[in-house]
Amino acid sequence: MSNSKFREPAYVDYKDVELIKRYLNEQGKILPRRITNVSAKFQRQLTRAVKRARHVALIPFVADSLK
Amino acid sequence: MATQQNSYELTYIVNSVISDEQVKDLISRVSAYITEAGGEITEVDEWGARRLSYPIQKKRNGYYVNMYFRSSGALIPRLERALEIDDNILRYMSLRMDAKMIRHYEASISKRAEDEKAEKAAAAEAAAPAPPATETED
Repeated sequence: MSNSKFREPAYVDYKDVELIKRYLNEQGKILPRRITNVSAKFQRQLTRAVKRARHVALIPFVADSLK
Repeated sequence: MATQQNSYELTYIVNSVISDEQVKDLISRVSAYITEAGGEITEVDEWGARRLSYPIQKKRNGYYVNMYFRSSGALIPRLERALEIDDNILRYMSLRMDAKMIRHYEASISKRAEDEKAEKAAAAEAAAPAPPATETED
């Protein structure tokens, strides 16, 4: 997850499902920062984007198997 | 009195069970509602019918519309109420765009313009060989 090339964007778009899915586990839960190894700032942006994406049914709240 | 104008992003999901004309009609009604209330529509992006990640009102599919507009903040509660009342709107989400989001939006527009230009160039180049592969919509 922590590849050096990846630049954390300032704003995480809830429409960018591809990006968001990288930070979810199989059940669609948000992975903890312990595992994602991203900055606190980015994790906050991410969490918010995930919640927005869930609201508009772009990603599930709960899933048997995401991906 | 100069009311302050904000940028907004609105995404809503229309019941895709209704006919195409009804969907079009509903979308133009929403847009008209915004313009009539003094809003200025920047862009209406219809994503089209998509499968919902979870059922909403027992429906598995929905017609997504993502739009951007500028208006005064006073319009938003009225607009949301109108969306709430309409039975054919399954879900909506309006966001006020802060500086970061506006920058992100503008960047995506210029990227899109570039992509289109590249696509056109590629299409012109590939006029003889195979047409360019269809891109996946994000």
